[in-house]
Amino acid sequence: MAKKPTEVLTGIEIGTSAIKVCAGHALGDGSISIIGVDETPCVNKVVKGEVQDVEEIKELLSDTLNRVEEATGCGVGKAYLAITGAHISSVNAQGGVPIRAEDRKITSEDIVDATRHARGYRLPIDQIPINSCQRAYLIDGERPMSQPLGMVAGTLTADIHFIYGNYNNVQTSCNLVDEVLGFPATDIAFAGIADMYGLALETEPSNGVLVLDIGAGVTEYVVYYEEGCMHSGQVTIGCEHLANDLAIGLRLPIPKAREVLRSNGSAMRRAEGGVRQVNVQTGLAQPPRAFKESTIQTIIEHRLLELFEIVRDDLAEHRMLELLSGGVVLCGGGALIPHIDELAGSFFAVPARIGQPGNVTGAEKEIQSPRYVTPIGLLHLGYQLREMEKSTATPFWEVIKHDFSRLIGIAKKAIKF
Amino acid sequence: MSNGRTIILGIGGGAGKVISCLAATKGASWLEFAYIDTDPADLENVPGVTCLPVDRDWTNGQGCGGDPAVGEKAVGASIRELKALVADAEMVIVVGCLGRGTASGGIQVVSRLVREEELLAFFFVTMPLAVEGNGRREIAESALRDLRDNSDIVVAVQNDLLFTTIAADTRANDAFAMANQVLADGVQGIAELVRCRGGISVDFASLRALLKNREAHCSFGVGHASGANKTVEVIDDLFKSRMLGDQDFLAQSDVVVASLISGPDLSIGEMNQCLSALHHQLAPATRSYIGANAVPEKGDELQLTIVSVHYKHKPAPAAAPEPAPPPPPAEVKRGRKGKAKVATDEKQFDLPFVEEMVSLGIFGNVPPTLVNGENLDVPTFQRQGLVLDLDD
Repeated sequence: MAKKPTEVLTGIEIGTSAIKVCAGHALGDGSISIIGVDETPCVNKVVKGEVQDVEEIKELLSDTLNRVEEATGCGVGKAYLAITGAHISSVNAQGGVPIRAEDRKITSEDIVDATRHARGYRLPIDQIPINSCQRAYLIDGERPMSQPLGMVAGTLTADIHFIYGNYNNVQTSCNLVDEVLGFPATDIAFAGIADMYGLALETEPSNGVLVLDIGAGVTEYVVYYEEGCMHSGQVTIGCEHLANDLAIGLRLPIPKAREVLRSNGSAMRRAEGGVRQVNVQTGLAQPPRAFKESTIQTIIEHRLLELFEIVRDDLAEHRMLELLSGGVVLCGGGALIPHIDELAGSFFAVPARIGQPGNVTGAEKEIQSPRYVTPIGLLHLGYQLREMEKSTATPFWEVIKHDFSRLIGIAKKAIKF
Repeated sequence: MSNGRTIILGIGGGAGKVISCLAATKGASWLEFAYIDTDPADLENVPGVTCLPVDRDWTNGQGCGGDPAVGEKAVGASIRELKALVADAEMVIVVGCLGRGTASGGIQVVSRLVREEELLAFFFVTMPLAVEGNGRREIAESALRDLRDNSDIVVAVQNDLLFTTIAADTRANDAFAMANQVLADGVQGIAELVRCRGGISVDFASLRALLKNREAHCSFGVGHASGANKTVEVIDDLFKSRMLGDQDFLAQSDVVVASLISGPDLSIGEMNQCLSALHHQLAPATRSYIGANAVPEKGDELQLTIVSVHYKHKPAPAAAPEPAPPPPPAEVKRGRKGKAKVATDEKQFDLPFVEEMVSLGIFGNVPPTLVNGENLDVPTFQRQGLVLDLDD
């Protein structure tokens, strides 16, 4: 098999409904060319974003990766893995430095120091950091600033949004990928962060956007503001809850309920729904059962409104609602429910739209689907991380290494004398 | 069954509009209407409304000129007719739009009269709009102060709040009609409270004992709904009326008086569902008095009227669980028609509440999604008590 000159990036999302794998390579202008896409359903093996049956998932992931490899004609290169589930939490951490320069101008070193102090936030025990995002820099502890370099100040504080998860849960997913691929994933990302990259949001500065990824088991949300993540969170409610509500409410077996959700679902009660009937064949020998469309819509609407309410309450608590002038962007499988954008728009009282993967080219029709925002986002994220690695003179880990060796040096001196 | 007379007594021009609106409301035909004004010409032709022109000769039918003192004298001069009108009534609901002469002055005469006659009276007054100016507001506020001194149950509605629920592009005439309808619904709901027609009624005497000599702020709200989920939607609709305040405000009420008016087909299960949904909105310490009545004219419609009472001076925590003081003997004598109500009032929460059905479906064996102590794996419609329209 001939290897392509550019390195193939692979995004892996082990979702509640399906394992999705995307392979593509960066075109250099910031866009990604998708060369292979595949998915395998994994219902019941993953519940609410967490793997329940490791061996089974390993097999399914291996199959999916093989098919992608066949399609692309080259091996899987750098792999990026999306992480989600109930164990994910987030926190805002601050770290400050006094400005020591005589002219009291902020230098790039001060910025790096402040950021490092903020990143030194001590996570709760058995938690592992997944992503960290720069929220803002505070000058003298109060004035927020996105580019503090060169400003005159007394102190500089970096404000960082940390996303972290349970160590064991994250490690389970990472080990699983490691065992299937034979090498560890290059990086992991919270699915909401991947969405943020995947949507290629183009907004005016200070027009915040709420990215709401309604998956099968988990809904992730991220507030994208000033080209960064201001806030994030997850709720373990997804389309499976909609299907389950339908199954219980309409007394249908769960596969039928999923079918009804896919073919007759609507997020809002429509005027014509009261009269229209939906026929569902529940068994071979049984006559089809008829339901009013409005009944189905009522069940779905109430569940979605409750979900939105939970998200809104969390955003209100973190004073994020006032930043959402850019609207709501919906993605994930839930975004395919008809009229969900109308419902979200009227609920959050901002413009709402269905998001599609942005900045991608390729033949596969999946690259238009909101379901593929996360795996494609992983590719964007991977590309940007790689570029950063190349361009940044002293990336974060280098700084730490440098500091560490300096520390060792000091320790050696102390021992010597 | 109670066969006492309930008189809705309107004083002044604004109340006249509410009375005429109420006279046309479904299911209000059992009420008696009386209307006092210096010039009650508007209502003279409305059937079922007894008009009592007060001192028409004195003011030449010109009204009181916005002077409460003139209004008080004008109504006071007709006290004998007024007394004859309200004598033998089980309850009088007095409606007045404060801020102008006849209502602000006349309502004081009526409040003294009902006190002397030991009538059960409920004062339902509106405060003028802010745009009507300071003068009117001062008149209204001083009238309200005087009224509170003399009577036990006063619900004061801010007209400004009444209009906040109406869309700004509504035609002005329609908006006034809608506002009058809201007030009329409120009055009807309160009238239904003490009427026992096979439903649950509220013992007015104990209600009065709760409010007597206590400075309290009362607010009211009305919700309407129809259809399969009316029992839940009526609560949602209730919170749309701003006069009630928001959910938290209701939850902090010291006393809640609720009146549920339904068509004849309301099942006991639906009634339970509605009342328990209301109950969920209240703090455990809130005392509630709930009345429920079926009115054939309502058809499928459900109307829930709530009066939420906030005491100005909260009782000390230790004294909080103090039981309702037994109604004074004089009041028991007075409320002879309501004797059976004491028992029903005590029983109202012993209704056989429908066992909450909880199903988890595919989430039976997985870690639950808990938010604020609620298991969100249980379908939302079940937790919210929605009834689904299933044909089969």
